Amino acid sequence: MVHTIVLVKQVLQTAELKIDKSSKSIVTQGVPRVISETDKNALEEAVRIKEKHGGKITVISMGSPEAKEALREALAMGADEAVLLTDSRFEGSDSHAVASVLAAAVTKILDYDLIICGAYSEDMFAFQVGSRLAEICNLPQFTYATKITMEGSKITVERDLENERQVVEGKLPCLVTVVREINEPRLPTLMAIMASSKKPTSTWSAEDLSLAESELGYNGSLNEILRSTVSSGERKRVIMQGEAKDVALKLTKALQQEGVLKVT
Amino acid sequence: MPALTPLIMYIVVSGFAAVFLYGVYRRLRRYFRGDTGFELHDIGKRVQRAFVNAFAQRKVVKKQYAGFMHLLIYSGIFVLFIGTMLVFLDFDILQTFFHQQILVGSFYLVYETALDAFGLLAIAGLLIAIYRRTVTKPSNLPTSRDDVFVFSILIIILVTGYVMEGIRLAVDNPPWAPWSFVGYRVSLLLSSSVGKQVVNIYPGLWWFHALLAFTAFAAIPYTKLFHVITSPLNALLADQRPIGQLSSPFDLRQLLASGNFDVKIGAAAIPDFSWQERLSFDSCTSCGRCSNVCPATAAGTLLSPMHLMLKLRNAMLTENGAHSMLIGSVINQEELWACTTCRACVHECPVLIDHIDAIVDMRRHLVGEGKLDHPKRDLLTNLNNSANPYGLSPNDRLKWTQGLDVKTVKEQPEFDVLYWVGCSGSYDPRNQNVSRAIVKILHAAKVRFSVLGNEEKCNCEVARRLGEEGRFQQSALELIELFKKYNVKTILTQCPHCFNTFKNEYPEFGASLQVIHHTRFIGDLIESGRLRLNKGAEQVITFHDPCYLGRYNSIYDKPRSILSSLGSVKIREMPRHGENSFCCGAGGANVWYKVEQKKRINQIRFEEAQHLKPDILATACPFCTSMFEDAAVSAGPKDSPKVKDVAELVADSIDSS
Amino acid sequence: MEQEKRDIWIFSEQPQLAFELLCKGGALSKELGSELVAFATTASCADDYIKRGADKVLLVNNPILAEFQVDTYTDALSALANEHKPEAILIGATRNGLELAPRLAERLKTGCVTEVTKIELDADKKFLLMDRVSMGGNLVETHISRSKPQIATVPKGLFSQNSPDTSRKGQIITAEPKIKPPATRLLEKKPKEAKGVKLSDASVIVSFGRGVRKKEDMAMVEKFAEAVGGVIGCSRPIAEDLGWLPEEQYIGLSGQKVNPKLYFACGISGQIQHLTGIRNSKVIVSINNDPKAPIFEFSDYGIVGDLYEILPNLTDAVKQLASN
Repeated sequence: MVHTIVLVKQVLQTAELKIDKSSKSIVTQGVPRVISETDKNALEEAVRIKEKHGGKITVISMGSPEAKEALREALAMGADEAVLLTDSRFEGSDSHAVASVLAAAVTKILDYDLIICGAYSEDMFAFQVGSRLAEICNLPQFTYATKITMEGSKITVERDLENERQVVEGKLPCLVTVVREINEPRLPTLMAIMASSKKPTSTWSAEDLSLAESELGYNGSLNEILRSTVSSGERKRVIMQGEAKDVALKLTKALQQEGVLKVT
Repeated sequence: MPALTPLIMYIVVSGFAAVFLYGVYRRLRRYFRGDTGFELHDIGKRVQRAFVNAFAQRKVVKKQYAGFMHLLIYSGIFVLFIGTMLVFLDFDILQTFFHQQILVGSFYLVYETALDAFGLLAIAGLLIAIYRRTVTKPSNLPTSRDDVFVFSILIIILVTGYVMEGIRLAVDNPPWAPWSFVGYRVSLLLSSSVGKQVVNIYPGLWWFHALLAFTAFAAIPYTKLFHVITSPLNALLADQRPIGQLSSPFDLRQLLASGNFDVKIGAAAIPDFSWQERLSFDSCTSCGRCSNVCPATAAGTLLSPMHLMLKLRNAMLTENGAHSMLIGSVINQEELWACTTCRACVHECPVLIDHIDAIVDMRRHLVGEGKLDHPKRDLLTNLNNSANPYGLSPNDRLKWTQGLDVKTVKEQPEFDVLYWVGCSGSYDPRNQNVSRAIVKILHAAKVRFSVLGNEEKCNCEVARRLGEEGRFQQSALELIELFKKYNVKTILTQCPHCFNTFKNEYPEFGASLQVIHHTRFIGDLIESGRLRLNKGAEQVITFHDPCYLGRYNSIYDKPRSILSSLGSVKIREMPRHGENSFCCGAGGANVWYKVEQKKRINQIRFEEAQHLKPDILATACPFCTSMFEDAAVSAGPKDSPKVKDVAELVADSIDSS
Repeated sequence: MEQEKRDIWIFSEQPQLAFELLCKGGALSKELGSELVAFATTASCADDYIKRGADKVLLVNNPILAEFQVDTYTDALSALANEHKPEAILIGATRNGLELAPRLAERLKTGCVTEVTKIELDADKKFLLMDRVSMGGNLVETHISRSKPQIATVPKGLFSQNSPDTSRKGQIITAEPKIKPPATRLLEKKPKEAKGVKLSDASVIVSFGRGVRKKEDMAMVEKFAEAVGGVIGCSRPIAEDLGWLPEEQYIGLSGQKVNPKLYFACGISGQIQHLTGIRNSKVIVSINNDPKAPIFEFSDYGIVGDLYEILPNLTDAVKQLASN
């Protein structure tokens, strides 16, 4: 019997983001909100662990109230309980502030054996929250997991590094971050998602987590974003024609300027 | 006849009847195990359908050779059966109890001739059947021990019947003997060659013939002969949904109201199928016609509709198979995914089996399990997140209208027709051309139309065919609300799939719309003179009938009349055209994932067109267009016809003066 | 009061990456008028670091550090950082580094910016301005850390290396920070076969379609791919119908989905089935001799011309660039 906590983040589908040229800002209206891909892998892994070892899965998401949709999908995939951490004071949180809030939630739940989350989120690719959370909660961490095996309180994890694969073992409780190779997440049908509304969902705010305002959001962050610049937009559609040699040179220069053509 | 004969006869008959009834009971019972509701409506229509198809063999005779052969056997055995029943009625009931007889006078003479004639027909039919199976050997016609048994026993019964008749006539020599013209000939043969000794074998032959006949009758529920019961039953009892409407395992409106979504959907084992589906499995006569027209079979996939039905039937009839999981044991899921839902099988089936129903039910189970491969998951994810199967931005639906005068329902709330562009027409560069052509036509004919613009969302017809019923119904309810909001009465669409879903599937969810496919719309515009075309140069055009326009909705002539009105157009028909059209391979969501096949369906069909060497291969469906363009790329530009939607051809010919 | 040291520290378990960090770190420390310090676990590394620009090396010879492990390295670095209070720590953004940096930052209760694309000092030389890309590449954020040390993880190839200067002198300080035994145990490690980059991971892809007329002509595409350091991909007909490449290499609706920085579509018309596989590419370049090919609508740079002329010329141009 394993009690697993899975952390999911609801992100904007980054492929759908558009730049509004006039206001030089990102258009988020109408952009679908989805569960970050690696978090789906985390959920799928948790469900497989439950199928094998029994126990329960609590899924936690920190985000805007819309994240409830993500939690419903997570419940439909097989989680048993959902917790939404939402509070306007959470806004502007950096990885440390996020990890602090998650740590408070996880500590409140207390009787978990395992925390699984994606190694990174699809919108930020920061790779930070997992490690920070493990540090705050004083948990051993296993990162970039491609396979998880459990036996009693022993856990063995296969990890994927750039040049090697490792097999590491340790003891529960611990935190594991997963990468996409670990599994193929199941896709719940609409009916499964609708049926999942029966499963218990709680909503916690800063008060429920006993967090002081100084620890939250912009105030509680260790990083500060000085400025954000909107970078890309529509496809450029630059057409080049003419003498092959000239065109080749022109293109090579342009790509170099874009910073995508690196020659060693 | 010996005095005890009738008594012995009745005892023997009862014995065989018991075997028969038990067999029938045991087999029919399999349809009703489990929680199956039993409701029947429209009895009148059903009886008519049974009469036309079972009694009058309407679909059987569509294949002339085999149909004729079966007609001979069927009518022969049927008439002889009636004839024997009349004897039973006359002798055992009317004479015994009422001292009446009906087999007298001229009626009797006609009776004798008819029976002799039909017996001969039956033998002829059986001989043709045997020849067909042993010499011609058509594809998908397996011959098993069961077939050998049935043919043998029937022929022996018929032949011994004539021999007995010959003996009787030779002995009794009644004046009306020549009326039984076959028996008469036999009697002459017997008298001359064999002599009176032949009389001695008569009782033995009589019992032999009788026992064989009883055996054949009792064997009905244990052999392929059972189709004489199930096929008419199926024609009577099969579901009466309109063509193009898939079954609805639940009504989302009811579930939303009750809040209970714990509904079991899809078929994993036999008990999950409805009694009607189970009856249909048992109606299969192994004629092979479905597999012979199936594009997935032709492409060398794992799917053969007949074999799928037989596997389901065989599973149903064994105690073990009746409860075990089908997919992953007797059925490979790739068989189910290979179906393009083109309906060639259903259209062809003489006993009215709906193979697609069973396939979709099993797909529903697979989807419910959630264990789909990557492309299928991407498809559903895209529909969920982006409201289109491509996963492209929902805000980009109007990109194709750049430079065109196209108004949305918000900009122009007063319109005569809603132009439903569809996902392919909105996002696929190839089909955006068709959308632009349609707009040109609509403006030329001064049609007041509006589009939904970015409010247009995929109707998820593809999700329904894939097995994600909930998603489809949710989309349907949303779109029907949207249509109501903008007071949409008439929808024009260029996609036969959208057309079919709006027309045939939306009424169930409360929509009342007039739905028109662009071929009919454009055809009407031309015929009424609202659209004038320049007569073009001479060209040879082959038209590919889209499955969802032709077989599903019987629209064959309009597209062709449009092509004819383009001027000196010579229409060359592919061998498989009209209701026999061969699928392009995109349907049933197949275009979105990979199906293992030996030769791709779209290539097979494209080559069929290429063979005619037309200038243009004309289409009326965005998926057909896409599939044929793909095939053309593989085939190479040399000797490939240009692929053009009918709308594009018309738009290019508009007389703008 | 002693003037606050503003040393720049670097660490990477990967030597080549460490050298890149030293180069940039050195530039930063020069601007700040402070020292460049490297963290090493072996004496030979320490020597190399000095040659490559370090002023000081903190050498911890503890055998527990022989194999990188997040717990032991966090213990070591955090103890040393608490003792010496550096201005900033640049950590190589390998998977190990990405695991270490946030844990270390949390222990030191300081900020961390991962996968930086640019580091420079602000005008007043008070903060390190660390840029990174987010929101699927749509946004560039400039971060600072509110506390010290300011931690950044730096990906390979962002900075160049100093060539080794054997005459350089520096200070190697042996340190013995307290390191607890790790919470996890390494059972085994297997090197990965250099099977080549998977298409879905590739950052440069050179893809071709039916514009390539013969199988032998693939060599031309391969030459170009080699020049730009790209992985070969193709459209569906090449793999499925012609079988010139295995199915894992075709990109499209029912094939691979890719997200490289640079995607070349050579002789591909741009059917929607293919486009859905490449839409997440940062820059798309297409070459096609049909000016009406739909792929041009979808590209950043489109070359209308004959593939058989353009590709060889492009290969030469790229090679020229490399030799300059």
